[in-house]
Formats: sequence, C-alpha cells, structure tokens
Amino acid sequence: MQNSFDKSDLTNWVKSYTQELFAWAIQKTGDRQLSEDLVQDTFLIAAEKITTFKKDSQPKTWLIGILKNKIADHYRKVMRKNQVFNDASDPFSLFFNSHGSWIKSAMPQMWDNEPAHLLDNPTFNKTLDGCIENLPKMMGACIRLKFLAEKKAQLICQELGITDTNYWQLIRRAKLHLRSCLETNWFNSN
Amino acid sequence: MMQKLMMRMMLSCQKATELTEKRHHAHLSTKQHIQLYLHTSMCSACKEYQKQSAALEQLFRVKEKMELQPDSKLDTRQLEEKIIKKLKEK
Repeated sequence: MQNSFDKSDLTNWVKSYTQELFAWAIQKTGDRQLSEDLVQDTFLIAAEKITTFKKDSQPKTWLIGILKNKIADHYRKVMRKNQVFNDASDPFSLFFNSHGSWIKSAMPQMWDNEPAHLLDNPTFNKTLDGCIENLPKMMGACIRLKFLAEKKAQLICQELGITDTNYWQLIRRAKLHLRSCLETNWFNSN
Repeated sequence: MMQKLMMRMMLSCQKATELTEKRHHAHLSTKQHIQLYLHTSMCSACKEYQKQSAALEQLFRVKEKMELQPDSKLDTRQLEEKIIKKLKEK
C-alpha cells in the first residue's frame, strides 16, 4: 500500500522532534532512561500508524499525542502491578498515632513562603521532582497520571478498577508524603 | 447533651486530613463540612495541612499545564541515531 509518507519522512521527524519529545517526557516523568525508551517507542508506533496521520496536521502534535498515551500506559501498568502491596507498603503510622493524632515529628509546620510562583524556580522544581521520585511506586504513578491531565480522575479509576474513594485516598497519602518531603528539603531546609 | 453532640462532631487529625483531601475530589456532606470546620478551627496542625494541601493542588495544576521549556543541554544525537537504526530494522 502506498501512502504519501515514507521512512525518510519519519527519519526527518526523528531529527526534528526527538529533542522536544525527550524534554517533554522528562518533564512528565522525571526519568531520563524511561523517557528515552518512551520516545523510541513513540517513533516505532508512529511508523506503524503512519497511514493514520493526516497530511494537514502537525507532526509534532501527533507525536506528542502518541507519547502521552505511552506515558499514561506506563503509569497505569505501574499502578496495576503495585496495587496488591498498596496497604502494606504505606503504614499510616508514619504520620499518625493509633488515636489518629499527628505524630509530633510529622506535624505540619508553617511554610515560610508562598508556593504560588515556586515552580518558576528551577531548584524548587528539582526538589519537588525529587520528592515525587521518592514516593512509593503506586502513589508516584498516581501523581504522574495526574500531571498528564488528559483524563478525569473517574476515568483513571475505571481503568484501574479502583473506586473514587481509593483514588483520592491514594492522592492523599501521596500528598502527606510530598508535604513532609518538601518541608524537610525546601521550606525548613535552611 | 451538648457534650455528646460535640463528641460526635469531633474528628481525629487523620480523619480531618481525609476530609481535607476528599473536598478536592468529591463532595462533602453538610455534617462533614461542619466537622472539618470545627476541627481546623481548633487544630493548628490540620489548619496548616489544609493550606499546604491546597498549595500542592495548585502546584500540581501548574505542573500539568507547564509548557515545554527548551532545554539546550539535552543532547539527543545518540538517541536519534538509535531510533533511526531501529526504524530501519523494522
């Protein structure tokens, strides 16, 4: 079957867009090795699907769309794989005692500056990425999926076969970890 | 009577953080709203948690929408060659 694109087009796309796709993937995943694999897969899928590419659309947008799906797939897989161990791997006793009160060392402290423009600060961004990186797998994947912003929470739940309640409980645990990590490594680190 | 009512409305901190998060993702009942309000008006740690939780949500939203920052430090030549090689193998 003949179509208007061939392998030389794709080769040109690799040269033109790899850098941007790679940067995008790193931004969403915080993981270079994973990003390399995802970008490579993106082009391999693009090669298979090239006939579905519409001539008047932007190659970059099309490729980013494929990449986005690849990233989401990856984190969905991570979540499915880690679901079983979910409860055992994150005892609440890290933050609360048996009466449900804050453990003294885990009590939220006042943060000394407003977080509104923090993300403009590359150092803060790095700290946040580091904290996300250190989350238990299931929670990390959940937060990463949130960053893709392509799907509503409800759909993520449906796909993973978890309830809404489980979903925001998961987000809550992730946030308990994140706030504690940011407090230690950013807000009160001086 | 009043004391009994107060006891029923009192949340643990753990429960209060649960409702704080639930509020970002789902609807709270009137009772839950009041419970959370009562708790955070007396518990400074949970009040702080509430602020920080909202701040994190805000950070997440900004991060979601963050546009690509051109990063000239990324050298992707090797990756490009690798991908082109793979494509040729197909």
